[in-house]
Amino acid sequence: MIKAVDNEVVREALINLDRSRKKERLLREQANSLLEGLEIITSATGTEDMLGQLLKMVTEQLQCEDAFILSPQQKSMECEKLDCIGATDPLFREREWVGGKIFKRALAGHPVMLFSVLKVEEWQQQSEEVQQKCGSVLLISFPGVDRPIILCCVSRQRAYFNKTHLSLMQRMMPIASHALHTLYFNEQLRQEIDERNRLEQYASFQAGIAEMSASVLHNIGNTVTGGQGHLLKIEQQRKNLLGLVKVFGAVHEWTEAGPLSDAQVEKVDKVLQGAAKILTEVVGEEGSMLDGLGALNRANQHVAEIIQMQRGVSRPVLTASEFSIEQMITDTLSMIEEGIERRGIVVSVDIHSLLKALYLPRNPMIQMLLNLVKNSIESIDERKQTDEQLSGAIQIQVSPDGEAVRLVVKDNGVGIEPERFKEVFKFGESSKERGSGFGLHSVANFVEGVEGRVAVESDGINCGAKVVVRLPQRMADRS
Amino acid sequence: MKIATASSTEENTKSAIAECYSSLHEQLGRAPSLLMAYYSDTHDSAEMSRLLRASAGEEVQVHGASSCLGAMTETGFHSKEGVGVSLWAIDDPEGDYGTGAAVIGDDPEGAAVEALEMALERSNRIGEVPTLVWINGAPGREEALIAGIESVIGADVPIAGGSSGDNTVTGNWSQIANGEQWSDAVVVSVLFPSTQISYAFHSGYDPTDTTGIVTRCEGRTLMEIDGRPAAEVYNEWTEGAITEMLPEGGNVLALTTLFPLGRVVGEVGGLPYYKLSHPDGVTADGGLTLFSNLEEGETLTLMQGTIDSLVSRAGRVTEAAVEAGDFKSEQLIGGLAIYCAGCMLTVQPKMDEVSGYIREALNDQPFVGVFTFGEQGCFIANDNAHGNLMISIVAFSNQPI
Repeated sequence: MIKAVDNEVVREALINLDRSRKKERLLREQANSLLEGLEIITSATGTEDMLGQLLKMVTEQLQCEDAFILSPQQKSMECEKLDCIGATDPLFREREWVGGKIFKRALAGHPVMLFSVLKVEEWQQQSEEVQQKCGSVLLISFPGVDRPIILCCVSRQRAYFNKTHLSLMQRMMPIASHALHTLYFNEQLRQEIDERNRLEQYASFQAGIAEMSASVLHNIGNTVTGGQGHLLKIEQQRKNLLGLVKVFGAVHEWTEAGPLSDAQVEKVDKVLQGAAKILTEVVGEEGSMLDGLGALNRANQHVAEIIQMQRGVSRPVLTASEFSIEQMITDTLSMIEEGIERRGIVVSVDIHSLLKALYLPRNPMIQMLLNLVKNSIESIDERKQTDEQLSGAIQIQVSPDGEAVRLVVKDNGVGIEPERFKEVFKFGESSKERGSGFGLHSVANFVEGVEGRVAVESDGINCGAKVVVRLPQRMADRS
Repeated sequence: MKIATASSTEENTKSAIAECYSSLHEQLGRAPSLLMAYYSDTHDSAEMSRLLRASAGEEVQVHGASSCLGAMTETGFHSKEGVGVSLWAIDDPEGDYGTGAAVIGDDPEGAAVEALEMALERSNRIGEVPTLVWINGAPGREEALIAGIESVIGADVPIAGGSSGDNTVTGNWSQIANGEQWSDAVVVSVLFPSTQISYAFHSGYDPTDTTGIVTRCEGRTLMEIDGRPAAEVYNEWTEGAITEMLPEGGNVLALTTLFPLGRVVGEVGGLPYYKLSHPDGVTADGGLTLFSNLEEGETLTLMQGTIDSLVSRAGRVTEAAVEAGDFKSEQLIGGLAIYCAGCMLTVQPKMDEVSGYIREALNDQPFVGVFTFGEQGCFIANDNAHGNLMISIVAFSNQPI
């Protein structure tokens, strides 16, 4: 007996209804995820914090073990090397990531789902530990501030990710990108405000210095005026003593002329008594000259104290701020770009990928680097006088050195004799014909000011030179 | 991105391919990214494969299989006295496509893995999850082929396709790929289109309230239902549909097309949906041979269909596929269809109508329909399955991913 319990039209309607329900449930889940993500992202305090929150949110929403963020070192799409700028596991951050076709495709805006990484060139270069952690991977890119960013979601399970995961990420990424840009511009704005405040403070400081200088001059003026009175008194006493010299001259003439008469002896006695009195008054233990000299000495000391005080107050204050080391070097080189190009000097810059930002006085550091590069240029100029074929080259290398940063400026210029290594940082010392000797001294002053170290190395004349500067990555704030 | 089809009922393989390929090339304006060929077993598969390779060039991925009597496209059913060939091609410079093949032998799972890996390598997308896997294998071990593919890329990637058929159910089927040909192989293509696709997999049958339990089976031979000889029980269920074959056994394919056996594979809105098994023969000891595996303890439901439902169903499955996509019907650019050969033989005089329904649902865009001895597709719950008397549709759109 054949009896239908339902028919295909009913089933089709149910299938469509079920599909609609599933779509609606998926959309609702995605909307909830987006709202949650939006809340997390918008509560971030800065770009770094935001990326950290993003990674946390992604692993929670996709229920995968790990996630990390890659950004190409160069702005171009030829992503030869990528930096890991955020990761749930430091293992990913410690690795060097080299771009291949998968990263290129992701950077071109095409999401990539890898069911296995074992035969993927980007992962074949990675350690076994990384490969084991990455059973399967979902990669999706979004526009970063100045270059694209790839978000890599990682599951230990092979073939874990599916199009539902992808769909959620595709909806999430525009929000993440927008939040990142907003935070970045806020940070930029805050830095600009900080810089303006700093300049304002400096202007106030300068005004204070001017005011203080006027006060100092006034005080010195008063002191000098007071000393002038004592000088006049001393002058008067000198004149008195000069009169005494004349009287003694006359007495001497009497004694030369023969035996003294009684009247002359009486006069000489009176002269001696008067002279003793005058000398006692002028140069005696309580004499007026001693008072005058004492007063002048005190005035002199007072002036010295005032000057000392002024020096102490007007010493430059080194205020640190966080800045990109790459940008700082770019800015510095742009200041002397024309001179470098005119001379045909090749300048290479190598910044370690893990080193991004420093917390140091930025402008003084620019001045320091400027001095070092100028020093190298002058050194190359000098060597060219005897070696016209020389192709000038300057290398700037920056690398981490524990909690410090090591900055090396190396040139192939005239070099320096080893016995002069310690002298070059003194004021007025220069091994070059046209050098003032002030540049390297200024470098030494800055380095000392931030509790760093500086040294010069060279194999001798015409062997080039290398200045090695070691600075803290983060200078302690000073009140 | 563009899809084109061409068909011929020329007996001469060389003439047929020359006619079809020149038409395709003219429509596309250049060589395609992926070329598929479905042909009746009257064509020499070796020559077919060689000619396609020579016409398209080494860069083009070529995938094909024999199809019962020929094939259908948006222009109709292409079979003249059992002879026909249809080509389907996609030109998608932004997408990637790769085709691989391996002999099934004694290791169907291993063959599927080998063919899949070859396809991924040829698509230049090693390690990546494809949007769709399209397969055509020799009939017999389809479940293992699906398991092999899923063991590599997971169960979330849709797998669709069908088992290669012949004109007489005598094992004269073949598979071709990239200049080679086989009779016991699986051909796998991985598709990474630059635009969105969607898919559907349904049967054209309704369940009845007649059910039984598989109490004994051997692979694809159903020996007993509810402890009694399977052929006898089936004959009772169908009110004598195979009576004449009970005494000595024999081929019952044509007699059972409207009454397949169903197994529940999921539920929609409280109603079950089914994977079908098509009895094709009665054994001497009273068993029923099928085109799919069974397991003891499974519940069988007698399904029923009508000529009209088999004709109209393909169009509705296509509509369901389009409905499932995240694109509008105006964005359709073509499709791929798998239509059970058993159904086709049953409704053969009305095959132009079947083709018309699919074309209408695909917004008059080009498609190829293959007549297979077993169908593979992805059910509504996103699980890949092999069944009989099924319809599997993939719709292609121009909506970017």
